[in-house]
Amino acid sequence: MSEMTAIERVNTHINLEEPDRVGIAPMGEFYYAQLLDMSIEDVLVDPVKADQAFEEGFKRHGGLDMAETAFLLASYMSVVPDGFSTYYLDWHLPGRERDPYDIPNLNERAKEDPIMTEDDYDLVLKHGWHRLFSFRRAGLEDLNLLASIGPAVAPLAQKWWGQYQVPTMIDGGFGQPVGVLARMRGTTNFLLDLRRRPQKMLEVMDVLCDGLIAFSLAQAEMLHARTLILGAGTAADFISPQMFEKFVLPFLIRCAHAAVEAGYRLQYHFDTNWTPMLPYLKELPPKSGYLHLDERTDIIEAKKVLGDHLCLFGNLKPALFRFGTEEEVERRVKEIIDGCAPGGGLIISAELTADSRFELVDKMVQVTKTYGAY
Amino acid sequence: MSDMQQLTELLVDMDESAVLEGVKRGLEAGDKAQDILEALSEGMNLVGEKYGAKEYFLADLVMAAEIFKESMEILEPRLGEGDGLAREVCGRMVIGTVKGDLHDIGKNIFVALARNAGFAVTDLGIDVAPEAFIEQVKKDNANVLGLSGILTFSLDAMAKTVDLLKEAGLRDQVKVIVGGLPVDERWCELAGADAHSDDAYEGLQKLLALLEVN
Repeated sequence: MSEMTAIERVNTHINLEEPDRVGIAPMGEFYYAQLLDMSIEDVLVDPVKADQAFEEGFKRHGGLDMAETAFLLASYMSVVPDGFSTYYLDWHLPGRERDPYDIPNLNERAKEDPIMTEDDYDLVLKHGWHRLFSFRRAGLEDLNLLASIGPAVAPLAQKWWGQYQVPTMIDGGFGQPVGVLARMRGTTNFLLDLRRRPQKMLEVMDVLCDGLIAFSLAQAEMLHARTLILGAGTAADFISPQMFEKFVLPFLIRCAHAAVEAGYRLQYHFDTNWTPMLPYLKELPPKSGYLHLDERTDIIEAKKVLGDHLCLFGNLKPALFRFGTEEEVERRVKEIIDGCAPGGGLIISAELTADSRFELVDKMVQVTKTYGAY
Repeated sequence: MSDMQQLTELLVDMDESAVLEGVKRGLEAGDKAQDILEALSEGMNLVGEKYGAKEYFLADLVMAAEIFKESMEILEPRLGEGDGLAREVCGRMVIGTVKGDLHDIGKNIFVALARNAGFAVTDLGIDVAPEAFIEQVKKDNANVLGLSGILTFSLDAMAKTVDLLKEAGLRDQVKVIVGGLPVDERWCELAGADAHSDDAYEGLQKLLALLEVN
């Protein structure tokens, strides 16, 4: 088969067909920053520098199948109260609360000092989902920054889609009730709330869901987004399948369908161990994007359960790229390809940390390109 | 079934109001606080076992730990007034999330489980400097140091803390356990620790084995 462009290759995988080879798309804005000795702050606040850093990685690895173009700033500036928003959460950012070379770090609020209290549930039910705005910490300056991101990033994204024929990986975020409440209440309080007041939680999530959908779609339009990231929030290892079915799945499905119906592709970003929950994910819209699974989920099992439903993405352990060997990387990449590549629907990836070693990342890229040929 | 067995089962079922009511009623009826505490500890052990067997999930551990903590708030004044002996301490632990890292959910669950297992725990919180760990180990005369982190560069802070422990001449008397999502055998070795885990319950079992505590 002749060599495809990255756009053609990714589209074919998402459609669950076999392209020329397995896809390769490492995630890691901060990894790319170190290739040009840029600070984390540089790539966080300056879309042009973030793009330069990714382009350096793209060229040094001989081409990658998805581009990371400054989504990062938009995620931390997000007015949707999702997991990365500094508007609502105590993120400590490089160049602000941290050294310019430090990565952003979320200060998880103490159980006794949550952003959102139990009483706020009643206020959400009384006043609607926009009650969440009362927790906003940002000022006009930050909102202006967000408004400037879309126009700054759009031409960079267009360069990848047009000149390079490479799709962008993520262009915007999508808030969903479980993720928002787990962050605003803190994980411990949220888990206790599910036990102590289950009916009220369902009512609050119902109120929040439509508002978050509307707000997420409006922000996506402002950012000229094509692919949105949708996380599952507190799930998998955290709660039982029965609780997942009751508190998480219905809202996840609503959000996913709303995004897909509005024309967006989704990165389902499901960290931790999803192996027991995989059958539920057949309820997500088929071929609607790709499912990011970290190393804790059995991706071979995911292929068996979801191979005819969603493209799989990821699965290498980030720490492998700092502490591992080239042989270990090669072995793991080949295992994933052997188990998941037949029939298409596989993009190899890892969430690279800033201290990942180039030669190990390159081993992942090159083994995928050669061993992953169909 | 005795009242104490029932209390154990109520905790395993995570029936918060029934456990708290049972604790209060037991004290009013003249039950020893020590006996009630033992029943609740047994409940926590069973919850931990169910978590280890993947019958229970993190939410269940959190709920059970919360009920145990609320019960202890009722029991503790009585434990100090001759109504039964205070619990035997099986170890003195200093723990925290290392410098540069602010994550603490897993660490907090580990602390709750360790306290239930009989450890006297000083939790230094998050973003803890290596020097602060060593100072507290000396102050508490601790025999366990727990270092938590989920960012890869947390390894550097963990290794530095263990180095300082050696410099202070305390390494031989303190067992070091490291924990967090990316922590594995290699991480443990590079940090110079004695045990490791990416799971709070499993980590406690490893620590108890290391200390040869039944």
